[in-house]
Amino acid sequence: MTCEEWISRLYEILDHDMDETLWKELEHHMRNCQPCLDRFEFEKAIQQRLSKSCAQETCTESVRIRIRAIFEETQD
Amino acid sequence: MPTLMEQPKTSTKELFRAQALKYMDELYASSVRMARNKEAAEDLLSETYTKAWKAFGRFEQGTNMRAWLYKILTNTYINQYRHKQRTPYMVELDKPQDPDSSAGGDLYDKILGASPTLFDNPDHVLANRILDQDLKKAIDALPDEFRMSVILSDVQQFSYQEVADILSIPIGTVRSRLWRGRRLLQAALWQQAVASGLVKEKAGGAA
Repeated sequence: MTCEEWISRLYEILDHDMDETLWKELEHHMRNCQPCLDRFEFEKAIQQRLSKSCAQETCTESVRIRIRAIFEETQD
Repeated sequence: MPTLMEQPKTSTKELFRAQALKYMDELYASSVRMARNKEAAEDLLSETYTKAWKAFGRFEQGTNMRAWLYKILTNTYINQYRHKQRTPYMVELDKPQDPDSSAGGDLYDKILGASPTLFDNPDHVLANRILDQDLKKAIDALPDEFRMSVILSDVQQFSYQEVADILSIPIGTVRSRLWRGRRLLQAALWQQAVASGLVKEKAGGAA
């Protein structure tokens, strides 16, 4: 595969959606191809940032109270 | 006759409290990214928990509670909220006539073309320079169908199969929506990076 073809498939690794044979081939390719490795690290960094920055937000206390009231006030 | 080994029965409330409430902060984060404002997100979250509590008897113990809650959340959003929302602004791909091309429009190529020195350590640069608020803004700019897949996959790290189950779409559709969603997201990040002066766009474009 060409570098361009590998790059178009990088997210398959990041998403754990690549079969092992292909994965090993790509790993081998990246060991010898700095631009592809850089690109891989770049896409990985974006993906990690998205998850680190946007995955959690603390609810306000008023929301917690509102949600607890949904079930705490009903009969068990 | 009750046996001595009989355990005290866990009440439904206790079960719900233990299993469902721990996802409140992450469901809230996803609600904010879906509804795009905090007030609507609070209503969405509250409605999600109301429905989850009502349906809790039908939740199959031992299956994935987190995915189950997300399915309720996304359905609630899709059915009730999204019609009231308007996309704040749209981002355009560089080559809308050729959306399947993998060349030219990528954030990486553009940054590399504009500021090669930013790439001495690409990892480091990104991790430190893109602001949280810019990432959130870029997600918020995505049209619904792509936004949902990006939130579930990139942000909340569900597998393709889980995203497909949550959104009730085929796995191939998850792949294509993610592919397109990520390109749109990167286009938005690029626009923001140029607007904030992080990188300078070359005259004539970076394609």
